[in-house]
Amino acid sequence: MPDEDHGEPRGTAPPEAPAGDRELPAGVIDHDGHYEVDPALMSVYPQFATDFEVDRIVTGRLEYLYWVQRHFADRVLPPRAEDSSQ
Amino acid sequence: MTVTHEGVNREAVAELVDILGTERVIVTPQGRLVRAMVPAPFPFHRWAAEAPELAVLPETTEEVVAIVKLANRLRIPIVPRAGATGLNDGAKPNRGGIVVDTKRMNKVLEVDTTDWTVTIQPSINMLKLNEYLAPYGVWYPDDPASYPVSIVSGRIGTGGWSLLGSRYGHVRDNVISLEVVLPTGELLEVGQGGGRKIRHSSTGYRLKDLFLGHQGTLGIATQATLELYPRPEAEFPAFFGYESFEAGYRAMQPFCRSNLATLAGVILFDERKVQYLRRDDEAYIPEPESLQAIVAVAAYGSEGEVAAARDRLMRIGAETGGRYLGEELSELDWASRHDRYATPLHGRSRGRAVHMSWHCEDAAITYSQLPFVKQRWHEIADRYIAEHEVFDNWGMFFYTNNAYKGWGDFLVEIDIGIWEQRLDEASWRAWTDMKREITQVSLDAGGSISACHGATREGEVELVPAELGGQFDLMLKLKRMLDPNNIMNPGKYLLDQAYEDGGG
Repeated sequence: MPDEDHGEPRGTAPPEAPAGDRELPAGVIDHDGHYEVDPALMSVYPQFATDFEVDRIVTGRLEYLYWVQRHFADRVLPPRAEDSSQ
Repeated sequence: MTVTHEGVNREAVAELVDILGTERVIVTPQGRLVRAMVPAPFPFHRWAAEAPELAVLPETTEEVVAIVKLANRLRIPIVPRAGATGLNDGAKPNRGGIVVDTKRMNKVLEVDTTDWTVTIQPSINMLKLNEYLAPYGVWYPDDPASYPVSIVSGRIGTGGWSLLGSRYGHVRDNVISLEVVLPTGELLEVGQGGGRKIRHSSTGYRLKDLFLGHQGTLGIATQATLELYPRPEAEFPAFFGYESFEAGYRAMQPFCRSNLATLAGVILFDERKVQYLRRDDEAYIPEPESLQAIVAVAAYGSEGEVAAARDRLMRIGAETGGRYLGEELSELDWASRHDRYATPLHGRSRGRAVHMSWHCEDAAITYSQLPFVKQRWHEIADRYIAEHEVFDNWGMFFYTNNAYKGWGDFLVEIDIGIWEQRLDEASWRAWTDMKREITQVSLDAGGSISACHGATREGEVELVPAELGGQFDLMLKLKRMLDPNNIMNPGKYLLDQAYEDGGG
């Protein structure tokens, strides 16, 4: 389903839950009284995500990594001396 | 001599409430159960049996002294617990009793920019400590995989190892002195001789190390004075790919012996680790099959020194046949070195993706023995995986282990995924049998069971006396002398033997 705000969905959507199991959202299982994401969904590749979600995950990931890196040094040097001014 | 323990009775609860108030005495099932857990593989089927009877949350040294004196008088087991992020089980009770959760003891007491020390209540997280120190231009360099979540007192309790240890040393090198509440409630200041900020002394015995890595069996640290370093101006990480494990193994030597003072660590990934990454890590999926091993290096220091180190490391990579894996992968995979600890994990069981938790062995092994240990550990792991669907082999890392030097011995890690939800007594038994076989290989190679986590878990602790020999007998004597009633984390490290007739 195209979404003008969030882009084209990527990957495969989780299957709809059977009508009789409507009390649990699709992709959620009851494991000995604990609700958790169905482990079977982890075998789905690529995972279902919109452009917005992919961008959000990638951006958040990079922000986190650079944030951690700043705890350890003021800057990261490039592999070649001639690139040091960049 | 036989020591018997008592349960937590009404008298004890009333006294603890007098010391701490009702809010900081935790008796709820949730509060107790959560303090039975550690991130090391955990026998959930035994969860309730391993929970403490209650937990307390002290905020001052005086409160810890009062709690320990009470426990010692009433013979109640007491278990110090810091972040409980360790990959051993030191922070988990074996005999119920009281968990002393120290997480509220997290104040910075002094930053000394003249003598370059920081004195803290030790239950502060290293990441938070470094954010506090950043405006002073100084830095505490302890960098475990658990850096974003673990706390200094847990690092003291385990005598932890740092990813940057070849440049900055490990926990034992960077804790200058400690204040410790002993099992009898006495308060001890211990360091390198007498001065709280003295880094080296030849006066008396070197007792500080006794209180680094004891897994909560000898006391509770309530204050620590730590080393400070200039904050690094620059970092340079580089990842090089090799076409075989043997090529990567050979390449480690020129990197490790490069005579670079800024070299913080050298890490070898074996072919099984590369296969695992190519299977489940998007950064590695595009890498060709010819990539069978990786050597990662990182340097820290002033910009001029790191720039010079960069040029030499890149040259060594080329001369040893390494293929530089690129700036993006090198920079970001090094930056994500803590995520293997902190992120949710999954593994494969019979080709199916399932939830798995992470276990890692962490033996200390000399360079010459690395190929032998690698071959044997994989043989053992693969044999158990063939028989049990709950395990997965995520490959091996080899990290420089020698403080301030890149050569000699290495922290050898095999990562085993464990499907904890499926653990039962039979698969738990298989797990501990696998651990025992892996541990025996470390000893056969002349190594040490643990370079970082400690060795208190079932499947390895049985072999600690074999590794330590006469040192274990001395441990028993020291335990009985310092903890006459065996209240401090009883049941760990086989130290109950100190209280058996003829023991200690």
